[in-house]
Amino acid sequence: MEEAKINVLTAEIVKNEQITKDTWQMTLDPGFDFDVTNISPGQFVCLQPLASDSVMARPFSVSMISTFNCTFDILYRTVGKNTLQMRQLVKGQSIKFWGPLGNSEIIDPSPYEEVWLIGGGIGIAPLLFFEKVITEYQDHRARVFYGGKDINEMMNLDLITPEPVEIATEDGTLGFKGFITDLFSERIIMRLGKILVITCGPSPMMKKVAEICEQNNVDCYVILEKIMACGICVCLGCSIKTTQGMKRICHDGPIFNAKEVIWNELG
Amino acid sequence: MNSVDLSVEIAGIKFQNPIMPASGCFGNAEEFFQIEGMDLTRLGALVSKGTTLEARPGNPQPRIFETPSGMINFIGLENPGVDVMIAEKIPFMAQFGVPIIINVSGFRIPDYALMAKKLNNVKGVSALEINISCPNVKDGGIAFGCDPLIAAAVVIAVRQETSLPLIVKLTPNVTNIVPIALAVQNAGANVISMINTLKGSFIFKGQIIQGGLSGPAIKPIALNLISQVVQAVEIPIIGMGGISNLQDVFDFISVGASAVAIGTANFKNPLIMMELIQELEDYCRANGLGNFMKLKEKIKSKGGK
Repeated sequence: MEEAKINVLTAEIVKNEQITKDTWQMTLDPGFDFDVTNISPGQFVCLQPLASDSVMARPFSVSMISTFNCTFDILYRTVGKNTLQMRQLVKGQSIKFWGPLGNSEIIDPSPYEEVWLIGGGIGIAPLLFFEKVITEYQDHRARVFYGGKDINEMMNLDLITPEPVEIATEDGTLGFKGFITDLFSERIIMRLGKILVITCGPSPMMKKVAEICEQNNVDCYVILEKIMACGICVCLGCSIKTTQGMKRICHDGPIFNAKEVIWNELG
Repeated sequence: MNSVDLSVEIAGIKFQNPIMPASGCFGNAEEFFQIEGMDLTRLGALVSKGTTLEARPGNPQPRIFETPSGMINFIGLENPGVDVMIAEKIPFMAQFGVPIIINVSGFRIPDYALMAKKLNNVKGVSALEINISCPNVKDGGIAFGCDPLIAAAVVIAVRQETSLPLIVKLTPNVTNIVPIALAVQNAGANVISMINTLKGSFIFKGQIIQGGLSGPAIKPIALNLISQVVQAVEIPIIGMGGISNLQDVFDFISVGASAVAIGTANFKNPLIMMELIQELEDYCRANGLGNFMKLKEKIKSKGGK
């Protein structure tokens, strides 16, 4: 077990804004006891549930850090009573959180010409942080693919890479009409040099991305999500069977080599 | 008043305070060791995750489901097995200087006996907690803890293999819990812990998944069952079931628990046990209660806060 400590702190809400029909962005200031640069892309935090009758932690991927402001961002879709209550939080209010959680090992892009980030829906969140780290800190080339149901679901991505974002919507109201995986499978054939793929989104989408990568002999990482009660490897609610044995998404993941994942074990 | 002595002695084991984790909501201490602000040396005891004779991968997904004021778990006793516990986990737990309780779960009576034999002389182990809520393979899968004779048979088999104090964890999923409590007491149990989770189901993609319900939703049931058992047995009780704040601790002490275990509440706040120990000390200090006995008297007469 690594030595990195998990902090349990109260963060102040710096910003909590609606960015699409049902997606909100929250900027949290964790205070001086917490160094945001300790968060690696792919890692997440747990927020204490706001609903008094909720008993389980709420995990959220970190979608960005600001080393200047010492804050971090999460993106959330309003899906239940807790996320609805989160929407009510305003600047200056606070929320208990713990983190950073998940494997802190940083993916090294240097063996690859480009890193392709394939996000579906709210799954784009951790990839935005990846994009910043890859292009700004690792000085590497990133290309972003972003898919959703329709234009109302799509957020404006504030990226560093000069590469245009590849966009697909199922109804064609924005970008390519169809699944992002369709667009990805068209583009992967035209790749120049060795690429690495990192994907996050609905399970069927990630499975498809992993399949396309395997067919094209491309390395692929997937960022998995499962309901978890604690985020600290205690409840074992997010334990999954992999080709490498039982793994905890909150601790061994949430980033996994696609080759490890047994898709029909994800429930 | 400066010093408050919250220590309690149960079955010859001295606990520095009556707050300990409930098995399955605490890993094997190494997970909580990573939490900044968690001081494991301050806990009343460390309680291991349910350990079985052989390693178990546990159940497929989905494994947990939230319900109002509760959650259902369908983990399936994922654990590395008793040998790994002895070789790796217990030595880690032993460095904090507080009693260690190892929770053992079996599917056949000889499983329990063999684990007790293996754990008997392991350095650092203070007591065994026997989980009798597991399905008894030999008896068509009915839990050991649902039948007084079978429950007693487990305790007798374990007693023959170890001199360690035995804490028997009762299942609430019975028509009448008192005969079970009496049976395990008479079979040699030193302590009763209760309650384990209640059977509950959730629906996932049309499939009915049965697991164990925990959390504040089950607290009234725990209080009710403990108050029944307290009147029938002479051995002490460690109370658990939805405890999430100081008033809950008082309520369990009020019905006769000698100590309490914190389970699901650890998930919503990883520092809840630290906070409860601190609040308990502060309460005693503020009310001039120098020791746990005095606290108990006050709670029983006034109901606490």
